[in-house]
Amino acid sequence: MSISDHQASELERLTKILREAHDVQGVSLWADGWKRLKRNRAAMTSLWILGVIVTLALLTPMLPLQSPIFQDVKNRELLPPQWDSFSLDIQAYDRETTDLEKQSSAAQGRDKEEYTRLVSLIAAREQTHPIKLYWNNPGTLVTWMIQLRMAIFGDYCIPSIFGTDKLGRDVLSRVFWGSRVSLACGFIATFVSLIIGVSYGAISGYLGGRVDNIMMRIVDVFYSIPFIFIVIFIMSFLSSPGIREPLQENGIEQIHVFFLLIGAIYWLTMARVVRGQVISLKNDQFIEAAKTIGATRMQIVFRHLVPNVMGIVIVYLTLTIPAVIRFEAFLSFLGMGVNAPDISWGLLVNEGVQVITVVKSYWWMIAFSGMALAMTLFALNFLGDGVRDALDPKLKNK
Amino acid sequence: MQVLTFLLKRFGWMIVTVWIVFTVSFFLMRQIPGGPFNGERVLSEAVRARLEARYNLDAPISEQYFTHLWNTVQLDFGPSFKMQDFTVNEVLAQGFPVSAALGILGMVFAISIGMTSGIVSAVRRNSAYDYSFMLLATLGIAIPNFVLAALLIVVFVFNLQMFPAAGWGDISQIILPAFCLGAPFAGYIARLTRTGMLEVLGNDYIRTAYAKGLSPRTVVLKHGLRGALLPVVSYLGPAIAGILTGSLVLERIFVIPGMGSHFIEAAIQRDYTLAMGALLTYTVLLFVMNTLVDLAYSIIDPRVQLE
Amino acid sequence: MLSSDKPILQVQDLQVEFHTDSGVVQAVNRVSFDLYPGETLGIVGESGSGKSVTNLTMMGLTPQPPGKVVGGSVMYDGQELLSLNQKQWQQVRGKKIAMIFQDPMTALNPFLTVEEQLVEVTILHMGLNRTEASQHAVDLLRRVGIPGAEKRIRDYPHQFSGGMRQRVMIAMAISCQPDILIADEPTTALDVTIQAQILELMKSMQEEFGTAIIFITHDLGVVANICDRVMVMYAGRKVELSTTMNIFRQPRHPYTVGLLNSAPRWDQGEDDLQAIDGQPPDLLDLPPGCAFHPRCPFVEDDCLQEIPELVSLDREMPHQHACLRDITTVKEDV
Repeated sequence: MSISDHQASELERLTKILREAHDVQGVSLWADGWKRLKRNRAAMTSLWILGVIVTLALLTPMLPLQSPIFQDVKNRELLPPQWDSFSLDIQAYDRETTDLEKQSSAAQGRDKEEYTRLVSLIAAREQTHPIKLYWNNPGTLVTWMIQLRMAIFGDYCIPSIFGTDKLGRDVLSRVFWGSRVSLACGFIATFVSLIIGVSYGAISGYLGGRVDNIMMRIVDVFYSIPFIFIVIFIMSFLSSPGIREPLQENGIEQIHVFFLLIGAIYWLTMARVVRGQVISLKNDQFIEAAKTIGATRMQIVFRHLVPNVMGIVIVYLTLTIPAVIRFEAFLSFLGMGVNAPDISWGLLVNEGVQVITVVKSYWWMIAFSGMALAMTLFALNFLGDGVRDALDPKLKNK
Repeated sequence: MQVLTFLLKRFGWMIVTVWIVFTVSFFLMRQIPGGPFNGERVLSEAVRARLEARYNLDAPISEQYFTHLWNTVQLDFGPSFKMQDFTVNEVLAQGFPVSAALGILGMVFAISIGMTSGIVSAVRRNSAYDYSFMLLATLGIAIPNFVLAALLIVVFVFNLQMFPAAGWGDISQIILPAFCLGAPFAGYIARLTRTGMLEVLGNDYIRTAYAKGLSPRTVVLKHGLRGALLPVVSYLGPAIAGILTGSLVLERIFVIPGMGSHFIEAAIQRDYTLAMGALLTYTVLLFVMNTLVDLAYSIIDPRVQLE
Repeated sequence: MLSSDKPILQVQDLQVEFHTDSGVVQAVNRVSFDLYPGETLGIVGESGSGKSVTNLTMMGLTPQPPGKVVGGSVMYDGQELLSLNQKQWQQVRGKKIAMIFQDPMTALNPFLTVEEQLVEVTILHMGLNRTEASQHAVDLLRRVGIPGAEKRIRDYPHQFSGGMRQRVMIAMAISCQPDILIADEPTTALDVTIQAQILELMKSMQEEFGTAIIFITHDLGVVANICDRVMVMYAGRKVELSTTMNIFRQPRHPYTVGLLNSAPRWDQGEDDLQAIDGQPPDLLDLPPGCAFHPRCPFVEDDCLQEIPELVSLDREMPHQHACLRDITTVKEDV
């Protein structure tokens, strides 16, 4: 056997080791984990509940709900839960527009002045269309979903079975729309923390030595900084007009900064955990194999090491998501997070607390948003426990 | 000796941390266009100049930084921006004992309830006690404390009229907020104690203890509890941070004049000196508490070396 | 050294089951033996043979569930141990019957000082006050050969070496001068040189206090060194019981023969070492007839049919074994 043959076969052997390492990790970990998770009834129930909650949140614009922001203080202030029917007036508005369009096409060619007047009127009506009014200038996708909802349900709305708030807005609809912000925050912020934490931890653990030492010292210092207070501090700056306006002009909404901020403070534990895993993995055979094949450092870290720490990362994600959702709720509750006209569950609970008075408690203002928040967190906790039991490396034979 | 080196080292790191927090918040503060007095009222130029002179805002930024730093080192946080008649020190000195009382009571509540139910759950594993305690614990963890507070106010204050709604000074006024503050941590501690206890009770030395003829009670409380305490103690660090944050919300809901209320108020009103003073106080507090927790850990587990 | 007194412990037809998810395991199956004051009885067998469960049962420490004592009796000093309640057990454990465990690293509580762990036994069982108990503990540590006992007593277990820790365990076990000492592989986790020291220590302690020792091990070298009599267990059953001398000179059960052949001896070359063929039995699915038959070189058809009864051969020198073959004659042919 010549040297190059030998090298080729050696290369083949190493590639095989790598592939096997990936296959074994991939298949056994996830398949085993899923099997174990399926046997855990509490976790599976939670998974179903969360599935329903997320689906409803995604489909919210298509559901026959009232406007979450339309105010009617005079007639509908703080109504208790009720079955009185309620309907939108969008179809009538659209009919009027259609009439005008007919008039304008009739006027076209005959009465130029009347025609231009009608066309600009129609354009203006487009601008002030109730959909924009009722749903705070929704984006394209949401507009499309609302139009679909109009096509299916028409003006019909589910009655205010969760009551109305101080400004006469429908609580049911607000809870649904709030779920979108709360859940989005949970996922986006967690994703941010995932990216930062995994990269930081993996790099620190893989490089080792002095770099690792310094990087972990930084994490130690960060751990002892009360970030929650700093976020509040920063949010108060962001809400000052001198800062908020220039940001908005550049298309950066306060809420986006807010999501990023939350994500940016929840990466510390993730970084530590990933680092520990990487250190224990980096001397494994398959990493040696990858090195021999000539993979670069970054390739080794992100292609070979990171996929192998995914199990423990998922376990920590299930802890981070509820923590982040709770934190968002907490800040919004303090008025430091999501601001009107955006809605989140924390904001809703805050509105509920605001209207508690000695005379009357208006319990529906707290009960439903609070329950939605608690139920989501409860299910996430149970699911997290289940996932941890299912994926816990300690339980695995390997 | 070992303890002394440990404390010195920790103190050094605390100074570094506090300095970082100070610097970051100082420069954030100065980033605000137009300065901190662009509030509700439009101030006349003369008034503004006077205010700026008083708060040293017309000096170059480096001079401001060092003056401010030097004052802070001397524990003088300066006058409050918005509460004209008070210094930040006065406001904090007023709020701190209130928050401390609330926090300590919440913590005591969390530890006592949490550990007891955790131990009972572990010893009576898979019993009705175990299941109901663990369900309650998960509920406590899942429900954010402000939701719990709101619900409890509706039930206990308005429907049953057992407690006053808000305020400070009376024992009955502290019970509800302390309960709400401690509840999630009681839940965590209960679960940690249970898992820790179950793990410990499977150890060989527990069998040794039984083989000595010790009663189950002695075995569990003397030989088991120490080991089961460790995860709880290492959780206390994050728990203290959580108690600090939790008190922000609860002080607001129950209208308690603590440090948290002042901090939030300062943040909303953009009273930067006060917010910064509170922030630095929280940083030091967290650091001291974490150091104490590490000390406690090394006392409980003789194998742990302080570093 | 075999005493002709009344036995201090009589185990009769002891039966212990373990209820696991995959079925019921007969961990101990109709095991009987006597223990006489001052003697050392070795119990030998592979892991899973039921030797540890037998001894945990004598301390009332079988994990319940999944373990369950289904039958038999354990008489200690005219008292039926199996019918004791929790309180009565506490009077026996540590005071009358004490135990030393295999791994001294994990058998001592890492959170308590050695002193604390020593004095709590004597305070409990001997009614000493704290000072007396401390003094007693120092004496004990000195006796088991721990240098600087007065100072070391305030140390934590992790500050001792493995051998020293086992000495502490022994001191703890003998602190109330129990009648019976159960040692569950006390030397397995130790270095060979330390092993010998610990065995010497146990012997001298036995001579001093007249304690009867049950010595569980799979190491026949240790058995030869310390035991007066040996009981061999296989798959939860007693398969042979005799004096150490007899067992070594003339084993009558093929499993014992296998054990002896697989143990290194000074008078044999390495080539003579033979491992026992096959795997230890699956307790959930025992073979029919004699449980050893799949691994037995002397197997014949009837071994698959009946479970061999214990037979006593010699009235002068009690020797029980459970085998249908008479292998002493066969063995000479080999």
